[in-house]
Amino acid sequence: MAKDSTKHLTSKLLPKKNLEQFLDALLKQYDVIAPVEQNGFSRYQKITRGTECCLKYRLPRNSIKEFFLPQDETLFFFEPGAASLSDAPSAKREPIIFPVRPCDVRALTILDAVFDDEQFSDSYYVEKRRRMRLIGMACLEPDDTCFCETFDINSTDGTGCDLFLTEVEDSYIIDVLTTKGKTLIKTLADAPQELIQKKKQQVAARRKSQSLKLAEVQNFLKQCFESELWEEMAAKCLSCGACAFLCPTCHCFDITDDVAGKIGRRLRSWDCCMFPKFTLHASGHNPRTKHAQRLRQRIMHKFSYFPENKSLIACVGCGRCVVACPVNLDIREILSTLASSTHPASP
Amino acid sequence: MKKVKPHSQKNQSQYKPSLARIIAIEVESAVRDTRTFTLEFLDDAAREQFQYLPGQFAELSVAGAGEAPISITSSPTQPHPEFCIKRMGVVTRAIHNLSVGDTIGVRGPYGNTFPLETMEGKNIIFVAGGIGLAPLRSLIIYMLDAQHRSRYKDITIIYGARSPGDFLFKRDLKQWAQRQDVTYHETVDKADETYTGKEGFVPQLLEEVAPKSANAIALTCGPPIMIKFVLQGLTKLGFTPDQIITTLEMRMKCGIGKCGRCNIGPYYVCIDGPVFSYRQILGMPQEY
Ligand SMILES: Cc1cc2nc3c(=O)[nH]c(=O)nc-3n(C[C@H](O)[C@H](O)[C@H](O)COP(=O)(O)OP(=O)(O)OC[C@H]3O[C@@H](n4cnc5c(N)ncnc54)[C@H](O)[C@@H]3O)c2cc1C
Ligand code: SF4
Ligand code: SF4
Ligand code: FES
Repeated sequence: MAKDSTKHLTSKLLPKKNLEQFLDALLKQYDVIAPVEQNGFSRYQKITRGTECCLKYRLPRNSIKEFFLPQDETLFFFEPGAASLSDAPSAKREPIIFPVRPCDVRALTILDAVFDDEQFSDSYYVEKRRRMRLIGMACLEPDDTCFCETFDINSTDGTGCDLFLTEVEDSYIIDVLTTKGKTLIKTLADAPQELIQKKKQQVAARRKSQSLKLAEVQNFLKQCFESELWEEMAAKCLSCGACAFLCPTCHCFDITDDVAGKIGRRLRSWDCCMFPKFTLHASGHNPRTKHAQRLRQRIMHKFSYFPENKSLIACVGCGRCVVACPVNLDIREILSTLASSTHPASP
Repeated sequence: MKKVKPHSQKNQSQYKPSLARIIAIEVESAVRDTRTFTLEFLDDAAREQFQYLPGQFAELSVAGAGEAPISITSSPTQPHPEFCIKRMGVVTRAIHNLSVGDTIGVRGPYGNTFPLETMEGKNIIFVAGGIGLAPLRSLIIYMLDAQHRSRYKDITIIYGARSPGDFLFKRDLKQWAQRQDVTYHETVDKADETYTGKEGFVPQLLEEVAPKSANAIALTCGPPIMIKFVLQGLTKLGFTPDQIITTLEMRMKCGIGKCGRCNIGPYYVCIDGPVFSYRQILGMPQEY
């Protein structure tokens, strides 16, 4: 994805107490997407006032993928019976997401590899990606379910963002990383040198998230395809798809037609390889009828097939699937169970 | 076989179909509810863009019903694209309900092609069952075209259907049977009183015909159970996995490697297939 250069332009200062005001100023010109508090968690959604933004929780339950690949998206309209198609109108105001964590930024590069590849670029995704401004935020303290470090994601690095915030005392230091980002902070003062120094110290001393030994992940998964462990691990899976819907990198979708009166729409909607009908043929044949086959597909796709094709692991260690699974399937345990089955600990 | 990448289709709205008019409908088999639809694009740009080769498919759609992936059964040497469609579910039923003059949506062409260059200078054996002839027919017509015929050596066609009423493309079969430069064999699983030809399954006929494997490529499409025995038969005749080409069918939606549905191992059947060598198939998870 062609983004403008990510070299560090300048550092600005935003006192925390001015955050709402900062967002309100952005709202005059942009659509702002920010975490909004719900019952004990937050969700990314469009806000109308700066006060709605809630930074109490590190990662909102939903990922930012829905702003690039909406859960339901109209591909075009048609009038049933008439031989013409019309485009869905595009949004007028440019959007901003605040704040985006480094794992979710990496997830976008994974989606870019799918939707903006050299052979077929998906104009719906690419257009949203082009219009979006990303204001990132560093993680100095990971959550228990975070394991971004496993995938070499530096949680204090703003690569891929337009602006990148790091919390220092009662302020944010804003690194301005792109010219697109520069237009958003015109009124802010430069950050004082001592705070910039302090930020550097904090970053160096940050608590890293947990790391799995994934170096050989592709190799060991290849040996695990026929493993009996899949059955065992999938025994409690409900095929509910919560893991995939909340995952920032899962991108499987369905295409269907929806007709209400004289207005027809061809829709693309999220789908999930964990659903039993995902691969069902019209003939009744289904190559993946079992939970175990589908769990294996999700894991193999992320950690073996996708890396083979795109040289990227399709997981960023955000832990959303770990938090959301109603039967406590933990992707970290799945991987380590498989890994130790191929490398039994020597006595 | 390498992953074959068709020409880039960047900068298009990938999901909006071009519109085409149905200019002919041929009822191929009343028993199996199979019809061939001949299409003509409504605008020149769409016709220009629809440059295809044997093996590729398109997403056909009826507004309100949805889309279905269908092999292009015509050859690019013919003036209009043709699709042979068996009535199965929602979309294929909606297509069957259309008449000559109605419009239909077409996205594509998608997928890779039969390995046209690898097959040059070789003896070619087609082994087809039922509607499996649809994708192979494109290649047969292509090879038999005066422009291309000299590039391929002996052409043998082995075709089987469940019953005499199930034979598709009867006009083509007749022609192929009459041509001097084609060896044509057919069989039915179960004969009836009107039928005087061979009775038996395709793999048996293959064993009888016993095509030589030297300097040959065999292409097979048909129901999974037939393919299984044909692969065994060809192997017994000395064909290596590289000399056997087939197509895989997976449920599909996008056709362009995005929606994830047709994924098997590192392959996406919609862009890396639907044409695969038996060698490639042996190397992938048995999830088709
Ligand atoms: C590469 C390829 C080439 C094909 N070529 C032909 C052909 O030449 N002639 C022909 O009659 N059929 C062909 N098929 C099968 C055809 O696509 C299905 O029969 C058709 O999609 C069924 O759709 P439906 O809406 O009628 O059935 P439903 O059961 O109502 O299916 C609903 C949806 O599921 C999907 N779907 C269901 N079954 C299949 C399937 N087997 N393959 C792919 N998607 C499926 C489709 O997206 C469809 O819109 C081909 C399939 C593939 C993958
Ligand atoms: S698989 Fe789980 S941990 Fe990995 S990116 Fe998806 S939701 Fe996050
Ligand atoms: S969230 Fe848990 S139960 Fe639901 S599909 Fe994913 S792994 Fe299975
Ligand atoms: S059909 Fe969507 S990825 Fe192949």
